Amino acid sequence: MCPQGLGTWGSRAMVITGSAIAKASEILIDKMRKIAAKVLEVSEKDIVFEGGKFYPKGVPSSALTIADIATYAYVATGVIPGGDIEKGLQAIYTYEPPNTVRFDEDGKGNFAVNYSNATHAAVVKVDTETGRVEILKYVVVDDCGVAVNPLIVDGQINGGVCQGIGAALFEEVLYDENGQPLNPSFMDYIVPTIAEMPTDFVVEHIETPSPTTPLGVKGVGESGNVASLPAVANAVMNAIGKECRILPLTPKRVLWIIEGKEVV
Amino acid sequence: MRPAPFNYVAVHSIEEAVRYLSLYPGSKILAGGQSLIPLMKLRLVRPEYVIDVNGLITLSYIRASPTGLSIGALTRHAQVASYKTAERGLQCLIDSASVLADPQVRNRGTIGGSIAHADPAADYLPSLLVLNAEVDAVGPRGSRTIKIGELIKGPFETGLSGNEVITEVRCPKPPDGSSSAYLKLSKRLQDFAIVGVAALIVADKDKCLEARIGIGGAVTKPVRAYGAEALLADTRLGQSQIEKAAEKASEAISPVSNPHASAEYTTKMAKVMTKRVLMKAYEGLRKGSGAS
Repeated sequence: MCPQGLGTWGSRAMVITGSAIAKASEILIDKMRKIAAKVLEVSEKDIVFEGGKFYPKGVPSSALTIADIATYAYVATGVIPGGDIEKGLQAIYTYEPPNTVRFDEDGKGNFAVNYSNATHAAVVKVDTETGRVEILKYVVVDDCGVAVNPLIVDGQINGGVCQGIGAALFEEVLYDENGQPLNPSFMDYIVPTIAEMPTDFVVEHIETPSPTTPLGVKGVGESGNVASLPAVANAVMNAIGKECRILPLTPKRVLWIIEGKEVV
Repeated sequence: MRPAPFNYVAVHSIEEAVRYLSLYPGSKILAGGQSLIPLMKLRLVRPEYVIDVNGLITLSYIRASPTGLSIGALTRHAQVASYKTAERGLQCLIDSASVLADPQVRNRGTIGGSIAHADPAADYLPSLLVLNAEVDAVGPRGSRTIKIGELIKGPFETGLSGNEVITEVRCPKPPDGSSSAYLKLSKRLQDFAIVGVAALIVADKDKCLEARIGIGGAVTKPVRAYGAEALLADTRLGQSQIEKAAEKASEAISPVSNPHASAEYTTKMAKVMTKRVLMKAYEGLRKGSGAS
């Protein structure tokens, strides 16, 4: 669907691809409007596009669906009165975010089109004898602008928080003194499973449309993971009343912090 | 990674399995496959034959008798975990099976396979140690019985010869007035134990007649903490006595540092988990006497 892009980093998928799709869709709608006008033998400006259907103003009963128009565009071009239309339904639009700051001579730039927001709160229980941290409750309120697909937004937040909990409590690449990795597979590199996720997990959304993108979207990829590290770490600090300056907060580290030992 | 090439045979009797093991040294028994298959995929094990015993369904059973509990070697962890008994002394075994790995492993893995694999972090071993369990193994010259404490020699090392197959595990009936429990500490819920401790207490009201403590995890081999047990025998049970015993118990283990637990942390956790499991067994005792 998207012929060329730089990837999905930086919460950019919906912002860049989504905007390009929105703009390309406008071109396609114009194309379809032309076909609908010819088939229905009315002027192009009198065609209404609503709810996925094209019809002459005031006559919704003679509406053509997108599928109908696609049939004319691909296989039945010969039967269109007045013939002569552009075959097929394709459109390409290259979206260049308006406020991108390209690399300067120092190699600095800013590719963020806009910024999404999320606030996280974690309630944790720390076992002060073993150092184990259990997350009892977790709440996220995010603002990704217009939520195009709310289910996917929920999924992004869920997955992002899981990743953040992994970074806050479990995930760490360990090396010995010769630089040999000590946990090079998922047998030893610990990522959280569903059993480590909070059972009480609330996600709420605020939708403040972005003024800088055609769809009003802001992106959501980083709203789940960025704030979850400080949320979990601050909750642990609050629970034990001591500063934690190192992640992940493994049981051993938490116990040593509680006991005032040096932590590495 | 994929395993190195191997031959596969599904046997119809224990004798046939023993015959294959004798004919092709270095071959392995496939029961639940939850340890063997990962080891083969890492090519730490390269058996000439994988000898599948899953067809020997008569080796899957849990039978209670007046002398104790007999468990067929092919019994899955999930079956042990869901076993119902009024005998509180056996609770540690059920606890072990219930917290072992994850549901998928519990549905496939077998008690015989776990014992034969002899992972020092295996959840069964501390419980089998405090239950004074015995294991039957069949070899070319017939069957013999081995005490669990003598069977487990070291990390992944047993006293079985290469052509012996475990057929049954027996736990003698715990003394009257027993209560037991098993608790583990692991990095994630489903991980191997950093420390797993089983405790069995035999008591007459609050007077402890006998205590047994078994500790496994990130150690060279699971052991009984006899010194700590002696501190509890013939004493009045209570928090302070239990804490003293837990301190002593942590001296019994030989911890092995791994990337996730230093020897210092493991030793400390042996104390914490011993205290907790003794308290749990003690509470089970009080519930037991309250019910009768």
